[in-house]
Amino acid sequence: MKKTLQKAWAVIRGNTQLKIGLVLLCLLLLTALLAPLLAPYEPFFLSDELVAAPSGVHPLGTDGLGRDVLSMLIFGTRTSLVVGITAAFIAGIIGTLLGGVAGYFGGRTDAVLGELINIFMMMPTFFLVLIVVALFGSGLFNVMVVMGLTSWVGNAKLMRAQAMSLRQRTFVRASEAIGESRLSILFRHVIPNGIFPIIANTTMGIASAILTESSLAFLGLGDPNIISWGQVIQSGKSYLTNGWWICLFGGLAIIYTVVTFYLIGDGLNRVLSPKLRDLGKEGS
Amino acid sequence: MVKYVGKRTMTGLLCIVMALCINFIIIHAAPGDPIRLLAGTDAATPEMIAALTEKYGLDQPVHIQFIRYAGNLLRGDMGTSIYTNEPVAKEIMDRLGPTILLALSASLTALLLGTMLGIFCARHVGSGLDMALGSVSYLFDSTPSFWLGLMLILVFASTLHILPTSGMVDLRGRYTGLAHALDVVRHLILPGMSLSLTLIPYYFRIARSSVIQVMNEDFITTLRATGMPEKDIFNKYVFRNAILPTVTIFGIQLAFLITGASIVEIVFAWPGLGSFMMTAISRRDYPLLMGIYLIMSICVAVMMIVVDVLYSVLDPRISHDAER
Amino acid sequence: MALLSLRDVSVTYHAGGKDVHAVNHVSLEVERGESLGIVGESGSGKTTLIMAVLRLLPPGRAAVTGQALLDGRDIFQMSPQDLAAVRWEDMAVVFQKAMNALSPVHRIGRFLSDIYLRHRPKATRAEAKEAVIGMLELVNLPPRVFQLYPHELSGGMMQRVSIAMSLLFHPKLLIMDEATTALDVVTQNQILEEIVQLEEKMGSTRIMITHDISVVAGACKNVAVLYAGSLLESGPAEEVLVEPLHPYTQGLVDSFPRFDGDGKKPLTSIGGSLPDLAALPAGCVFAPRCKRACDRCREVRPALRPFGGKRRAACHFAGGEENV
Repeated sequence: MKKTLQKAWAVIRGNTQLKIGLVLLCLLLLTALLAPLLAPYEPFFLSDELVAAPSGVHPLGTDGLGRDVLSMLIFGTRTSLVVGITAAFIAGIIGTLLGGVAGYFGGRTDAVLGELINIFMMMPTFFLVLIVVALFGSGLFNVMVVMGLTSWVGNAKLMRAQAMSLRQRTFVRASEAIGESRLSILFRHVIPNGIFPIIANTTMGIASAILTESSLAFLGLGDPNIISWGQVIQSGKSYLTNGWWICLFGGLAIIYTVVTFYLIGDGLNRVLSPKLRDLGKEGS
Repeated sequence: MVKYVGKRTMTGLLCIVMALCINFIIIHAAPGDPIRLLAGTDAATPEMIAALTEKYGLDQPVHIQFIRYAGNLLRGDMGTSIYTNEPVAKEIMDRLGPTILLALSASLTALLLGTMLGIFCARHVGSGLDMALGSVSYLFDSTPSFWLGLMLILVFASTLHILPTSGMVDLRGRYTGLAHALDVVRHLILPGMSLSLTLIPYYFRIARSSVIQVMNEDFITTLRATGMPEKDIFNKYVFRNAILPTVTIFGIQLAFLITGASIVEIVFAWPGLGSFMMTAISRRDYPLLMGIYLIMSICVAVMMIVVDVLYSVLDPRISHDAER
Repeated sequence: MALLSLRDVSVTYHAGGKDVHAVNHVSLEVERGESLGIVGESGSGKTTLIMAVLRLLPPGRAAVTGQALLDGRDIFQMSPQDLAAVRWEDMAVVFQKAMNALSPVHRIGRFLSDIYLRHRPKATRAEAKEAVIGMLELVNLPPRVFQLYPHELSGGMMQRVSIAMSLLFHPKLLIMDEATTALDVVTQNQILEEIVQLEEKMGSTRIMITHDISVVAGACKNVAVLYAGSLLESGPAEEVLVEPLHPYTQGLVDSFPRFDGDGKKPLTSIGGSLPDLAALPAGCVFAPRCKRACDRCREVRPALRPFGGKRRAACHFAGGEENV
């Protein structure tokens, strides 16, 4: 275990993107975890100062209902992280399973699943998400599940390609020859060995899930009981000229978070590319 | 080649059918009764409700409704909007133009600018400009388009007053001909920019990495060994090889932009299909929703097929593999 | 005058703050009509040497010193125009992995014609096509290959296309870098035979770079042995390979299985691995792995000395006695 950690540390040190990304991520996680301690006010607290400019009392100003922008943004971190990670995670699981089964089992299973993947790739998923969320209610749960159910295609294609190449590897064939069940091989050998690029892709998926969630919140389709950055921007829309800080800082928070996950995902990809080349050699 | 096109078209058709089914199921399974919404403010009598329900066939079981709908579709009838009572097809067509205008202009701008910048950076890898552009691209990639739109409105429209804040045309001026076109262009700039700026990073990245990769290929070294000048090598061989991923991205991008432009349409009150979708959703206007989604699916499917075919024309390896 | 005369050629890379000496003071001569085989392990500098001679090393990353005289003219000092004229007309190269030597999205005929027209700008497309097809026939390829794409050919056919390409202008010097390594043994032999025949027909002199001694033994008149960037031995292949003067050459020959003899000779390999090119040992570069190495070997770098006729070797023990 220690050796793995040491290896991981060496990898991180060698990669600028990962370094910066992880630092930013730590700040985000701290903000989310310590939100009640960090935020100067309750996010829903309606003070008397409506649309107040940034000042010592309200560092980032207040919105149309007198809510402190800084506090809302701090608490909004939780929403973004939870939604982003969960949605991407769901998409990752679905994509890995479908792609792994399609790539490893091949034959007619692959023909059917492969076609399913192609079809889903062609679907205008954002509208589907809009429709579902709008019609079935915009609770956090719905949003996360629907986003996960519509963004698995990239992961599936990656895993499928991985499974197809791993299928030819000696250690997989050896397991088949021994008589291990195909399902067991899939879960014990194929998926663990092919999962790396999907991890990088899923990290990028977190970034895009956060963007999508903020879009939904902006359209008024987010969970009204929870603070979300998109919601902040939406509430600031009417005060664009005289209360520009509301929209501005809301957007900056989103950009910060998305950049963080892009950096990590990109860094992971760069780290994994030499590894991907090694996948061609036996026994790695 | 024909086989390949056929295969992709089949997938496209399947996709449209599947999208239709999913859509139908979801819309009709959702809570909220459009009839009540429609008749909401008026003190609707049960007879009125019954009459409306029958008119729109909402009292039938779901699968019957679907069959009727499919049948009508094949005859070219997309039904009537519950809210406005106009034929769905007309409502959609009225608004399809602005959406395509916005999506296409934003995509093309992003394609040209992004690819040019990407190629430039690939030829000057590691330079200060390369690093700078790369970082800027990263930032724009992470920016929500609707927020960018708001910021652009703030700066250019509200503060500087050089561009309009919303809409597609100036409602007070009554322009025709060239003046009208210019007016539209003027209104197109900000929403177009909001979309392009967030798209340019994709093209930039793809073009840059593709050119770098091709320039390191063996056949480029061979061409240099034959004494071919760098300029020719680049224009004829590097470009032709490196452009392939960009073409794929463009098609996919355009396809999804037609749906992704909806948020920007809402921010700028652009009279397109996207903003119309939101209205349809809030009104539970089923026929309209189905119609919009159908058109969107067809657009995306067609775009993807065109891109696939174009790609197989540009890359002779593809159709060869498909025909084996 | 020798066709190609390399005088004290050295190539140094600057990587990670260190100087990597890829090629060290190599001097050798290639006479007209006398093919040369350059033999060495991976990392021995043989490809670097030839890329330096062809001036194909990435500019700014490698420092090249010495002279490379092609018919008396120093390649390293040539102006870009002179170099472009010399390329392919006077010296051409066939690279390993022919699959990557051609652009995947261009037809073979198009690719070769473009090269032809580059050097014969006044020719028409039809004339170029004629010349190209003539070359294809010379390497036993049917004219229809002109229309094909690279991925439609087998490895052996691709290699033949590469050879045809290199012979377009009947170059005086033809360099083949591991040209047959990627092929199966049967095709390899076939192509080697054809190459030898072609050489006589075309009047070009061949330099073959390989790690495989059997290729040199079968197809080259002279051999030069390279190790860690230094030339250790050279001379007529018949003499060098039968009675090597340098322990390294002896090791290479010994590690090759033979069909003749009583079959009881054990196969040996040379223990150890290549030295770090950024920190070369003071004395003989092979000393760390040499069974016969003595203290003098480790301290004093042996010079390349002549040994009767055209043989040369860089070893203190060569010639049967230790030279003081």
